[in-house]
Amino acid sequence: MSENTMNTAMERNDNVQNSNETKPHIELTKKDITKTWAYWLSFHRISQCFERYYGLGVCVTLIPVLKKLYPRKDDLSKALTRHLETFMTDPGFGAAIIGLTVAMEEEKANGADISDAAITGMKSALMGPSAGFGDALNSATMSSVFRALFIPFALAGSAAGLLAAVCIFLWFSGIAYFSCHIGYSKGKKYLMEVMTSGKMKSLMLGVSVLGAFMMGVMTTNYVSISLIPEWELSTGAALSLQSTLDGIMPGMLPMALTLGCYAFLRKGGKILYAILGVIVIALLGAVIGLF
Amino acid sequence: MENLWIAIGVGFIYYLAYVESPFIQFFFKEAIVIGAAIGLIMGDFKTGLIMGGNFQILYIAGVMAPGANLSVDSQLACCVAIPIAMSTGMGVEEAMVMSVPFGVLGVFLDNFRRTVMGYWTRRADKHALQANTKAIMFDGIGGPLIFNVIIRWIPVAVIVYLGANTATALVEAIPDWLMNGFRVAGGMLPATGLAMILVLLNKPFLLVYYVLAVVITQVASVPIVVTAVVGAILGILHVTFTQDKTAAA
Repeated sequence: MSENTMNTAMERNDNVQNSNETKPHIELTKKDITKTWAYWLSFHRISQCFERYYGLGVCVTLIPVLKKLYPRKDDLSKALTRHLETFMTDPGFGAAIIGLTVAMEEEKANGADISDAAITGMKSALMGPSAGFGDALNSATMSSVFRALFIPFALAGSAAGLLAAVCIFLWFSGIAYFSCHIGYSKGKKYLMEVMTSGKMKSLMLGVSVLGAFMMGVMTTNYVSISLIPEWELSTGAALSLQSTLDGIMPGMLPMALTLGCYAFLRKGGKILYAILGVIVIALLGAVIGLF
Repeated sequence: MENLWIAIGVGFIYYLAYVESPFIQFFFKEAIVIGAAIGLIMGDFKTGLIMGGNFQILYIAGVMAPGANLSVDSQLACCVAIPIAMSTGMGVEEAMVMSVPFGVLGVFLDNFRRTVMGYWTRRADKHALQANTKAIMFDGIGGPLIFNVIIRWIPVAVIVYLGANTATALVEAIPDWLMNGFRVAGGMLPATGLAMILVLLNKPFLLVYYVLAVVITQVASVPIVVTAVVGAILGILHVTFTQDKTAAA
């Protein structure tokens, strides 16, 4: 590059508004967005680390798009560096942020005045809500509902039990696919509205009810505690502790145990200590002949 | 020799569970899939599947605690305990209790991994300055995949291999009273996973629906799909009625 062209390039940068006619307009297609989605679900977590979580993964996800948008090497370099920042969210709804990022990068590449800070700021502002919704709806509720539905098949030795994983795969992939396209096409305002709107909250609420209900069903089916002690009454009939409790309310002990764990975990107890605690109680109870 | 191939195969399943490519993980993070795959490797698909189903109940919450920190590595627990249980003929309840220490070991492994993986991100910083996208692709995909072979595949293959050779003697050495205690604990442990989900749902009033479900299923035996339909209807009703209240207010 000669000194002359360098100078003209710098002049062009000075009046950014008018520089559009000299730069070819680069437009992304639907295919590019779908490719971004595929990259996102294939690669974004592989390199996760404590320092920046999915930072490098986001950069890898965006590489095909960024290469298309920034043919000039120093622009590309800046864009790549920008997307190595800390990022962490839900793989399902998080794809909406990636879609929106692509939309902003496209505008920026075509001359719009969008600062690096605007893009990074948008990413960090949305990753919290998307992780919140995602953890509750996708990870906690829907995944466990799918598991709950297909565990009985697995226990019966039927390969249909594997459908639990197929459902989880389809659910996350579908959410991510639509989120990615919607994030790209509808823009920032729309995403903000959706994430704070009542509709999303109502959906979450309804699904949480389903989730809590299924946990109750699973408590009955899979948590088993039976008490051994039995006394012979003066009438000669046997009084069993277990059947007495069942007479008051069947399934009382499994429910009490689960709610006890709930109270412990909710107060910030660690799941590992809950597991160890249950094992200790079980061993002690077994030794003294209670269970 | 056969044990060696099983160990390598199980190590590979664990590698896939933590390959951290979501498309693959949606399958291989699930205890049912892990159990079935181990069953295939060990020549008894059905037993593996049933074991996996049982472990899935205990580890229904998946792996993540709030904040995405690994709390118990259920995949390592499955990958170590299921092959041992299958080869020694141990019951699934005892196997669940046996798996707990490995679940803890896995957390250390994951913390170690997430610390050393920072290396690739720092490398990518340099390559970004040169706009070298091919190198960044390697930093973000190829490099970590190779790291994981060393961090995940090899150690688990070694554990399973050593375990397979010593497990029978170890299991036989466990006294009856302890085995009995393990069996009782195995029946109680699923409570922890179910409680975890209730905590993740993060709304105390939901316990009402939890109790309702326990009561209904205790007094009547209802197919699981029917319970899911009832749960969904309750969800819709709840949303409908609470919304009306706020609209009127």
